[in-house]
Amino acid sequence: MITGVKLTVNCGKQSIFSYHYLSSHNTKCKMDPNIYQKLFEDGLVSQQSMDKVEQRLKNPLISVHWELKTLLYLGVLLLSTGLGILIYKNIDTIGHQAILTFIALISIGSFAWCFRKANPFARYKAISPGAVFDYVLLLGCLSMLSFLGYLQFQYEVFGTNYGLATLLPMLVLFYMAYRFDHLGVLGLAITNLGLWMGVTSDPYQLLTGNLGHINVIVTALALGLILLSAGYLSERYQFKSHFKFTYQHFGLNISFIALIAGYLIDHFPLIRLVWAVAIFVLGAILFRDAFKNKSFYFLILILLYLYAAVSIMVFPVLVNLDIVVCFMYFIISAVCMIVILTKLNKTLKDDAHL
Amino acid sequence: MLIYNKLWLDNLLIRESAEESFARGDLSAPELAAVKNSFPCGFYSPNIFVRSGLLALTCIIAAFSGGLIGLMLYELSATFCFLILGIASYFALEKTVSSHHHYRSGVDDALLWISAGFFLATFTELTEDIFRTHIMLENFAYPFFALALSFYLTLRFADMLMAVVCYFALLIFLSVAWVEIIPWGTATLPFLIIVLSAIFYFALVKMISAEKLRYYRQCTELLRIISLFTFYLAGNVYVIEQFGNEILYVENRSNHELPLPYFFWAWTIILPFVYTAYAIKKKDQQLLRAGLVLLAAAALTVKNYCHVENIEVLLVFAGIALLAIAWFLIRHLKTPKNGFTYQELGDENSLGNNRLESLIISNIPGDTPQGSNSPFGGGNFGGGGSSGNF
Repeated sequence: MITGVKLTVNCGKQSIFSYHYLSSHNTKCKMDPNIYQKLFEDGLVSQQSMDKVEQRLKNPLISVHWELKTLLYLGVLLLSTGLGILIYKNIDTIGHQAILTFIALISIGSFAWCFRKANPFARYKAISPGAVFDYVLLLGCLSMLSFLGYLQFQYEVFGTNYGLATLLPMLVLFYMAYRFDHLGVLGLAITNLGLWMGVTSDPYQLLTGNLGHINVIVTALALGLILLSAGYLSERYQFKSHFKFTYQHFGLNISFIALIAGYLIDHFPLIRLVWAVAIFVLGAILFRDAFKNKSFYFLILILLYLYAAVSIMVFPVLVNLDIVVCFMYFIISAVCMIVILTKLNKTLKDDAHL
Repeated sequence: MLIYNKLWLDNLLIRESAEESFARGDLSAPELAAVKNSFPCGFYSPNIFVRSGLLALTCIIAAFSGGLIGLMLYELSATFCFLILGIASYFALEKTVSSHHHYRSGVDDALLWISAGFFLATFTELTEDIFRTHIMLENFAYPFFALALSFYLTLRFADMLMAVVCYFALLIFLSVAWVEIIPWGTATLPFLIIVLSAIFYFALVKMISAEKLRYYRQCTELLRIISLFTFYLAGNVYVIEQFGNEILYVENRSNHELPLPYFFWAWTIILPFVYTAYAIKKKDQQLLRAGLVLLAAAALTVKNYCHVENIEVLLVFAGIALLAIAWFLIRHLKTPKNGFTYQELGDENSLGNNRLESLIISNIPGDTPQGSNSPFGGGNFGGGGSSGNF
């Protein structure tokens, strides 16, 4: 066991770590006057910075940002649920037209407000005019979706022309996402793109849903590759390059799941080989990109997908060989993965991020 | 007792303080670097992504090693098998922490819980036959074993979740003892838990400021909040009724009325307000959060007993009220007042924003290729409800 070297630094009578709980009420705050006093005496912190810290410690400030945001969200949730039930119970007296008009008014009103308040369009990340702005935009988009859905459900405006029914909101959503620089709306737009193409873009639903047919798999793969290219192009041409993360997040998950499903569904060895090669080629390309961008989220995701793919490929062979060999494979391979991850973490340590 | 290098833990605390100050703009970057240089810390604590990856992989290794050993030894004896696995994973844990200096790396998190699970399984297997004849003993033995195990592991690894397990094991053990030993124990159980929680709370406040226990401060700070929760929940009407019925049902098979209704109803409704008010007065953020969560719990409890005919009207009004309060407070706290502010003081956020700003500025001159321009403020995985600005 390691025995730590006894801390010998003392400030007067107290060790620098004595911590008066009741005198510093904000327990989340790790700042401790004694520590700074020590840092100052050692000459690590300048007088100017020390003054700032002391000022901060004298008037501790608590941010209730997230508490208030949660309250706001809860309020919206309760209100919309209440209104929903209210409308549901009184649909006979209100009538569909009135409700449709109401929803349309909310949507149009929100969009109009956004256009009035918004900053001019920018190619790069635009600073949002305020927290409320983002919510209003989201409200406008969601109520537009409800409006179109309601219209289709009640009056079948689009008939069986589902392509048009999903294309229209998709185009509006993409426009809004780019115009107002809103990642949440971009996510909605991507989901709609998937709907339009006929596959879900939720990785979890993809996994649990019906991936048994080759057509679905090819469509999903196409969607995934389109999204990945969109992400690549955003970065390449510096056009809303911060959207790349969202594109890549969806594109990567969908492509990998589709490719692995494609491998599993085919029984001809040669075609299987093509799928397998495709998985590794995609993995290699994305890995290089993620490594260049030092994005740990994507690196881990790619490595785990590749690991899963390899395991799926060798598992049937190993099981036929011997169950013990199979177990040994998983133990040894997981140890190797841990070593790889640890090495990767050391290489990218300093400025790794999402 | 603690397995970690204490000097490094101290240095880690200093580094974290400095990082927080840097994020708030009080320290300059060279100063932060100087502090980090003077207070080295050799722990291996990777970021959250690597941590979850390592956690998953460690679980895979443990599962398949367990399977392998199980294949060989299960015929022999299940108890022996569990014991071997428990000891093996515990030694692996000690090894990764003491020689590879893992500190909250995912590997140690996984091994800690896996070894605890195997030890508990060993205990269950071992005592199964004894308890078949001594049911009374069983009620004591499990909480006691869980308490001993989690207490040891908390002392050794200072893990927050393990500390929570330890707290509940202690609470359950004392409650069982109270109910089994004292004839009117069941009826007074809520008061016992209230009193115990209060005692624990004050003990924990002392422990938080105790210098000797500074390495356990994360644990004690979390437990302080947990003790406030148990203090409230022990007197909550809904909890009492559910638990009371469960316990009494076994004894004399009848539904009991709530005893002392006024007292417990007052407790249920008033205490969350007391917490919140006290938190605001003392500027205690954690207590404030606890108070707000318990306010919601109190509202749900009341809703559970008072059936309103038109629930939607209630929802609408509650929603409007919440929106109004939130909106008012957001406006009111735009500029800091009484030590509260709506502004974010966060560490990573402002760090990310700073880097983002520099990124945008560096982008403006022209289309020169940038080394790194992934989004920092990302994290919006589809769906609605959240904007992209965090």
